[in-house]
Amino acid sequence: MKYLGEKFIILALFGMMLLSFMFLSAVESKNTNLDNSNVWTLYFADPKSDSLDFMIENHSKNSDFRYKILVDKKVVIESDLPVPLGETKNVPIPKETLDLSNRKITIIVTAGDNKKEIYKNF
Amino acid sequence: MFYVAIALVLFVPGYFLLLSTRRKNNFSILEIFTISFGLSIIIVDFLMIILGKSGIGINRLSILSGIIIFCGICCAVFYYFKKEKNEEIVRDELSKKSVVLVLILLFLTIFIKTIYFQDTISPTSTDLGHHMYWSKQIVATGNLPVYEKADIGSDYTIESPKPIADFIIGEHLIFATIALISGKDFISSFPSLVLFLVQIMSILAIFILSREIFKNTKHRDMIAIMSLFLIGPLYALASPQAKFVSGGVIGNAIGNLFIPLAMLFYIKAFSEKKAYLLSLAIFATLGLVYTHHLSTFVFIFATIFALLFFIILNFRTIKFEAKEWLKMFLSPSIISIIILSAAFIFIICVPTYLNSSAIDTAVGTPSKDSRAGITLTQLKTTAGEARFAFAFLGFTLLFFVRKIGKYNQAFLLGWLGILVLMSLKPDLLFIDIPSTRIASYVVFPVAIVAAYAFVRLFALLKAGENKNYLKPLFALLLFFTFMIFIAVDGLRDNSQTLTSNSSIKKSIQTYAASKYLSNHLSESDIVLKDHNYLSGDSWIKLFFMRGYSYPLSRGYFKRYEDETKPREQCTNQMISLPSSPEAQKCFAGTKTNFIMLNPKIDSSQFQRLKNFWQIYASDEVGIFYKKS
Repeated sequence: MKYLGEKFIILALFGMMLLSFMFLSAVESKNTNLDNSNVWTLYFADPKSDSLDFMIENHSKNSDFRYKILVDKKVVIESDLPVPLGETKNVPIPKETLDLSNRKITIIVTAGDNKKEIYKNF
Repeated sequence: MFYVAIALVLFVPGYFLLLSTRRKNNFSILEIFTISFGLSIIIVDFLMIILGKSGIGINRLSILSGIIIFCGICCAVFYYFKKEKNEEIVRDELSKKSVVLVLILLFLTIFIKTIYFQDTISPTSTDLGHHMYWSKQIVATGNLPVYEKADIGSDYTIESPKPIADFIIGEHLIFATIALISGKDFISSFPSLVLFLVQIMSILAIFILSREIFKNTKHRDMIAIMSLFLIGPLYALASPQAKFVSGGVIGNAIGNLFIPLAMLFYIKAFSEKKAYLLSLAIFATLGLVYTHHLSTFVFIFATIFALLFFIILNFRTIKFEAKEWLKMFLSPSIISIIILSAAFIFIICVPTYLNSSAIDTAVGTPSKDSRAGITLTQLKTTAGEARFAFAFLGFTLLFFVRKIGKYNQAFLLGWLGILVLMSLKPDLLFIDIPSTRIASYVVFPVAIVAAYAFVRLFALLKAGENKNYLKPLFALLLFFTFMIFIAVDGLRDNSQTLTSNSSIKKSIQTYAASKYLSNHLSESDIVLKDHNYLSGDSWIKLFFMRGYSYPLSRGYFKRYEDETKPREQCTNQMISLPSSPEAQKCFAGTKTNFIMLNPKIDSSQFQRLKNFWQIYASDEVGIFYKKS
């Protein structure tokens, strides 16, 4: 085989860097995939309007969610909601059925031990 | 496509420029490879500046066309002159054993750094986030960025943007070019991967520079390999090595590539008295000027010191040498490149830091303790104790060695000497720059000089010209003792830096919240986020792309207590005490209506207020909306 000398260093360096880049890119893809982070998020579908529709974005292994709607501190709606891993569920709230005047509407969602809440004051 | 973009942007233009000089046969293959990389960055920077300034615009087509036209011109020059003159191939390549050693060291270097980057390759670092905003702005607008930011004024309103000197265009163009060609998202590992490649190439640059500096000595390759050992696998992670990559210290990282390349060209140019090498040296210096102010500053000082050392060590022949330099500087190619460089710097694209206020902050009596110099112990730690010990010996030896070449000697002494002086006693040189930042540059000359001392010492001990000073067995034992001392120190340094503290799991929640917010923002909405407790917060602005100061940011608390400079308090007040009269004035003046913060730390003060809604909740990010 022909001795490549310094060319071999360059070829080997290309190979080593390519392997390293591919490995690190794979690590990064895994790390930045929310589905691997075991988290879930709760937010209003429209943050600025009076709409109370909210969304649960699940990136955790737990898919059994339970939500409660509170007007001030009184629970008015309570329900279970399955949200599989990687999915987002929109929960429409018909605000006509609620008396909103001067009230704080709180949405509390629980999944296992984890609890989150969002609210709007009217 | 990413790998094609890397090859096209970071290797091809430089290779063609070298080809056009018709002197590429005077370089070894490894030199051509390393030099092509450095020159490519500079060429692409200038192509982008020309595209931006000419009004053609910066986009995938224009930059690809620019690179192709440039390579075509270089080819034409090469073939036109090739007919007239055929250069003899004079290559000075590595031996088989040396190639094997270099490969082992490169493998170890890449392996150790890759292990470290496992936890840090994802986009989280603050500095990298700031830099990538400007790169993304180039891609988004097709124009060169205007470096400015808007502050909150004393009347509580957001002022008009004002120019800032913190950023330099060369730090951003290369990332914009790769993103344009490859289509890669900035919020990914690609910026860190590019910086990783830059760092590996800067290590190779140190290797080829060591070979050049010691080319007149018998142990040239051994010294270069030892330099590679001291700068590659050992001390591979602490600043300015892998930590600069993960920390997004772009200017320094690229500067650490350009400095040894420019030194290589200058040493070759003056030693061989060749004008084309001097023009490459000036071109590399120009690249440095457009990439990093501190590196440029350090390089200028190193050159001045090298000149001083040269005059002191060659006092008798200085008149003759000066005549030779003058002859070189008055050659048409050098005059042309100096005129072009001056036109570029003063007319076409003035570097942002070339203004009186920026210069005033860098020059003068040190204004803070952190700028008054570091201690010798701190310098030893920065340089690596074992490396520093051998470098001290090497520095002393270099004064008395004549056969390595007068220019090589002067550049090496000047480079190391000035960095030690700038780090320990900046007041003597009227430098007002954080001393730890200057000290980080010392590791490169230290590695070369320490390698020289190590190899020279054992060459002397093992066998003098005609006599053995030590028994071979004792020399071997001594060699291994010192090798173990160096290796243990270098690897201990690595292990101290290798800690798993990735914040990416938290940062991706910040990015998800930013994406949500960017989908619901209108032109009039103003966002304030917290820098203290949110991870990856400097990347939030890449989701909005509404200016460098958008979103507003609550900085580190100590910044609000700066006695030397009055700071705006609004960003702190609006999060820390949102119901206070001061905060109310700030909300009214700045029109801030969205707050992003860490819900575990800062949500309770908003939950008590009726005019705030919590609209977003995740483990790491809460968003509050202020009702108008």
